[in-house]
Amino acid sequence: MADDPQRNFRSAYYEKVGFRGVEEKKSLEILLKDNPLDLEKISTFSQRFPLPSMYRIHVWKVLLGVLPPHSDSHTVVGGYRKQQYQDVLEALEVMRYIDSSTPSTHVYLRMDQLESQVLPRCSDTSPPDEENEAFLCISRSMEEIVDDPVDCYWLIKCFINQFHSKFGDSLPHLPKSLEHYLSQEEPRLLHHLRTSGALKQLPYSLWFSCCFAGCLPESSLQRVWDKVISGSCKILVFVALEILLSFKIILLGFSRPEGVVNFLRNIPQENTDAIVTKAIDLWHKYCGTLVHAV
Amino acid sequence: MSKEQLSISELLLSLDSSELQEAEHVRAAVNQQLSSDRGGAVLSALVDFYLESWSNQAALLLSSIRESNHKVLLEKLTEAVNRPAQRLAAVSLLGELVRKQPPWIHLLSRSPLLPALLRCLKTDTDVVVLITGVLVLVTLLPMIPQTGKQHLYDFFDVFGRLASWSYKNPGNVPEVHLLHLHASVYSLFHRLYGMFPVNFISYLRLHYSMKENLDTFQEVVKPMLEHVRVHPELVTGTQDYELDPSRWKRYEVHDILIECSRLCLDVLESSCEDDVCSPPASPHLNLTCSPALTHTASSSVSAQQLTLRPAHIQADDVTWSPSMHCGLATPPPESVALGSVHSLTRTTSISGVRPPTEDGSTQQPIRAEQEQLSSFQPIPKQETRALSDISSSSAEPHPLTSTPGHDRQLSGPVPFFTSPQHIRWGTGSAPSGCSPASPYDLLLELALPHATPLFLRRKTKERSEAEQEEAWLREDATVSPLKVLDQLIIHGDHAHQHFSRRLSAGLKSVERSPAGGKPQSMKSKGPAHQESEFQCLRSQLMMVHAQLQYERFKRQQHAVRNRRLLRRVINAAALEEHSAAMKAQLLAQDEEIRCLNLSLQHENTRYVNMQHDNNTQRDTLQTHNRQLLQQHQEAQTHNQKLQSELQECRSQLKDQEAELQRANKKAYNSEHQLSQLSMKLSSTQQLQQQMFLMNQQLILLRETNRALSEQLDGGRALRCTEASMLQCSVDVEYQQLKESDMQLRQKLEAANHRIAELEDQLITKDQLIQDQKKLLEETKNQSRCELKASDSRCSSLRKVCQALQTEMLQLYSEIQQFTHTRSQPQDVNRPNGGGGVPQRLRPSSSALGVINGGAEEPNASPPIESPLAVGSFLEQHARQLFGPTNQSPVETEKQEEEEEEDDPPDSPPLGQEVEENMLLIGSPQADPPLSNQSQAGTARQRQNELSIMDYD
Repeated sequence: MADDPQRNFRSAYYEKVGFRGVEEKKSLEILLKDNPLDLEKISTFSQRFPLPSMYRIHVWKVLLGVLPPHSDSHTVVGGYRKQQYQDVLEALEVMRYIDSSTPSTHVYLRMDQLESQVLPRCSDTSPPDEENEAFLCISRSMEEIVDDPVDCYWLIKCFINQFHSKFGDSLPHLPKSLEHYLSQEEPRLLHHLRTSGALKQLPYSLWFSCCFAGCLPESSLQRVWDKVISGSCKILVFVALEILLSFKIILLGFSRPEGVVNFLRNIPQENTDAIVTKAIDLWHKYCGTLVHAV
Repeated sequence: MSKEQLSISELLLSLDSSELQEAEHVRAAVNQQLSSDRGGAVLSALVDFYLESWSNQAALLLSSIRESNHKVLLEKLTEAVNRPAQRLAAVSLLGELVRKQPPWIHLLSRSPLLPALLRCLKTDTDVVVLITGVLVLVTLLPMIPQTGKQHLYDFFDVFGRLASWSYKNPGNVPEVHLLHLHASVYSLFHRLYGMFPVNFISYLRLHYSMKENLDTFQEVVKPMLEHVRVHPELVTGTQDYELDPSRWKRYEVHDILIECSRLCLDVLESSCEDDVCSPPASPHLNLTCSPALTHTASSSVSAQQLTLRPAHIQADDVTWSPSMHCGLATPPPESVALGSVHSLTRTTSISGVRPPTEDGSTQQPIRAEQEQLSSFQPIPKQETRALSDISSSSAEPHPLTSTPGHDRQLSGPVPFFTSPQHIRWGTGSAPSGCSPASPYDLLLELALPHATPLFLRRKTKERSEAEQEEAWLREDATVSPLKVLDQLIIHGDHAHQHFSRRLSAGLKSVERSPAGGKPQSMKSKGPAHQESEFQCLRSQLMMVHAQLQYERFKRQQHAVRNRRLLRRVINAAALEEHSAAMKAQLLAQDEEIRCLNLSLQHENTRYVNMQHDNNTQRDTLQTHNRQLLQQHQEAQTHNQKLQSELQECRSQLKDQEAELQRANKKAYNSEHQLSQLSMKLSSTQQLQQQMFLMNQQLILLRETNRALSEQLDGGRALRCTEASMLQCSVDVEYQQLKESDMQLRQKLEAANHRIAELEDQLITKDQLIQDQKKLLEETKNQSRCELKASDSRCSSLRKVCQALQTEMLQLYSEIQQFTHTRSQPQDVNRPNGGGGVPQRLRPSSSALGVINGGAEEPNASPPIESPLAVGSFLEQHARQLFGPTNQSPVETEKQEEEEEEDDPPDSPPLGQEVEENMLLIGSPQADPPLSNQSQAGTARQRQNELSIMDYD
């Protein structure tokens, strides 16, 4: 990098003008040129900088293990993945779990169930339980982000698997830490929530189990997921905290907990980008930039 | 309270009693009550008493009240001043108090009394009140100089009003009164001019520039201005500076008084401090010198001196003294002598009268007056008597007029003491005056025989002088008002004498009074006229009294100043003496210093000489020393030379010794050689003998040799060829060996080279191996990943299969159930429905077949797996190929079974797999009549088992 002075000369101005992604894109390209890919480095990068959207899916796939770190075997493994997807899909079609009219999210759910051997009998189609609901939420959002159904399925599957295997233990503690940070940032709001009784009823499942899928628009959501995929679930706490802080005045206006919960379930979608940016800043502030901890 | 007041009024009534002791007692009581007075009741009672009775005692008591009570007093006085009836009494009381200078006098400036007084002066028309008030004001002014700021223009207005009043006389008062008024205005003029010259002059300029005031100025103010010199402040001062209170801080009352009088050219008003040495003062000087010269002048002279002494002291204190006249620096012994005379007179005098010393002379008039007033005689009468005293005193008016430069004050007391006639007359008329008068009487009588001629001479001389002066004064257009007043009094005296003659002729005592009046108006015409005249006289008397009081106050101030100045003179004299002593000391010390200087010079010269000697001695010693040092150095160099020679000699000696030893050694060696040579010689001789023998033998041998060599010559050539051949072979052999050595060496090098090459190769190989290993590892990883992917795919496929199988089983069970329910009616026509039955039988048979192979199942299970997978693949593909998607599971199943039939090579594994499943479900199948419910339950159980039996 040092051998190209012109680039350095420009790069001094990128930050000032506000193009934050330029330098990062280059360095990400350099990272992605490695063979085999260094997962550690990529996840660090993803934690520290926003991912350029053109590489996002690729990076996610690599980080989630959909694609191996060796770029040579990407095509082979990609083929495997596709075949597996088709096999499972066909099997489900054969078994008449799905048909062409079935929404793709449900298709993904059935596929996952089949693969994890929890496919219910066709006869007893129970309504989707909470876990399935989270899956459906996530898959709905993922569907928006990813175009290719095969990639989409795999990303959903691996994302959920990784999320549960990695952060399954820390999920119950997230509300507590949200409370802690809220007490540091805005004790008044915390007090209000506590006295009005809304604290217990905050939509934790929407926030932490679904990773804000369905709560934030996809453009903002993918930035949050960048951080989650690269190995931090604390970001969820900060996004939640920032949502509370951003709508502090409105929230302080509610006296009944139902109002708070209803509002938080359907927050306005206008400036979620700003919320996420602030949340990432807060996260950096509290957890430092190099923390990989959950 | 009332009781107390009552007691006070009673007390006050007896205050002026003629009983001295009782009066004393009452005074003490009143004093005590005053000191314990709270609300000022006693004080106000006292004031009221004074206002009614003009009691001198009351005035005395009031003047001695404490400072805490002054407020009440001032209030009371203000009240009284504002009441026209009591105004005169109040003003005169104020005058009494002011002249006593109580400590609270400065508070007067802030009290409403001063404005009240000024208002009264500006508005009142009673000339007596005006005169009294003006004199009080003139007395008061030096005591409260700092009030000028607030009331300055009030003072000026008062002056302006009174000046015009005295000129225009709007109240038509008698001219005599106007004279008095004029005199007091004159005093006021001097005071104001002395204290506030700039402001006053500017006021005069302003006030008299108006046309209506011009004549007043011409007539009244201009003559006054002729009597003053230019105030220095007019040059340097400003209006503001003049009013600055700090200006007055270092002045005392008498200082201000003197300041004012210094500016006055009028001999009667001014102090003659400045021009005391001028000739006009000489009569007095003579007078004072005379007792010093004629020591035997006795008490008549001393008495006269006594009377003059206050003036003398205050006039001459600073600038002149008799001793100075005699040329002495110390206080004059004369005064001491005089003092002794005084003490003598005092001892001879009767007690009750103060000795006529300085103090005594100031106290005396007061005393006399007090005693005059102590009786309860009606005031007019008393005053008349006093007036008559004065007028009678002017039987000898000369001292009064002939002592210019003396205070006007003197004019009062002088007659009291200088004229025994008057005193005698006084004693005659007033019994109470007897006690003070009699000692002087005695004194004078005692002194008279000696003093009379001198006195008479002086009198005549003075008279002539006075006449001259009067003549001069008459010529002078602007006569001092005081002088005029004096003249008036003198005239009054003449009138009185004339009148007293008439009195002796048998007239009533009442008619005595018009003594101060004009001679023309003196003739008594009737009782009414007499009454008015009496009134006029009375007021005149009061005016004179006020004037007198004022003059006395001035004299007191002069006395105070005199005391100060005397103290200063004494101090100055002491200082002078001290300085003289110091000077003498200084001279002595100068002398000493000079002696010391001389000795110092002497010592210095001696020191210089000694130093010179010392220097020369030192120089000679130094030169000597230098020579010695040189010699010493020379000796040292010589010594060194000698020593080096010695060293050389020693080394030579050593060399010679060594040489000697060497020579000895040589000799020794040569001796030894000699002995050896002799031995050798002997042996040589033996050898010569042997040689001879040997030679003989040699010859013999040569002969034999010759013979032998001749014998040998035949066979020598053969032996030569053999040797050369041998030599050749040796050479060749050597060459060969050398070459082989070379070859071997080359080989070694090659081998070494080869080794190095091989080592390199080894290293590269190692590296290659490493690379390969890494590559392998990577590939392994890669393939592991791929494998994992494919594994996951496999497992998913397996799960798909399981699901499918479960599904299938489900369907089977459903079919079975279905067939079972249908078999009951279909059993009858089984042969007809041939399609389904053999198919249904087959599985059971195949199941049986598999049961046989079931024993080897544990071992065979891994190989089975792949065919199973393959089968399932095939199955899938077959389904894809043949089966329409909307085919019912039953049909699919049928199709499968058809496939089994069609495809025998594939069927065993497929069948096996199916059979396996069937086997697992076999038990229910073996027992067909099992209930539907149990079948469904077992299917589910089977499914669970299958999931448990995951191959992973």
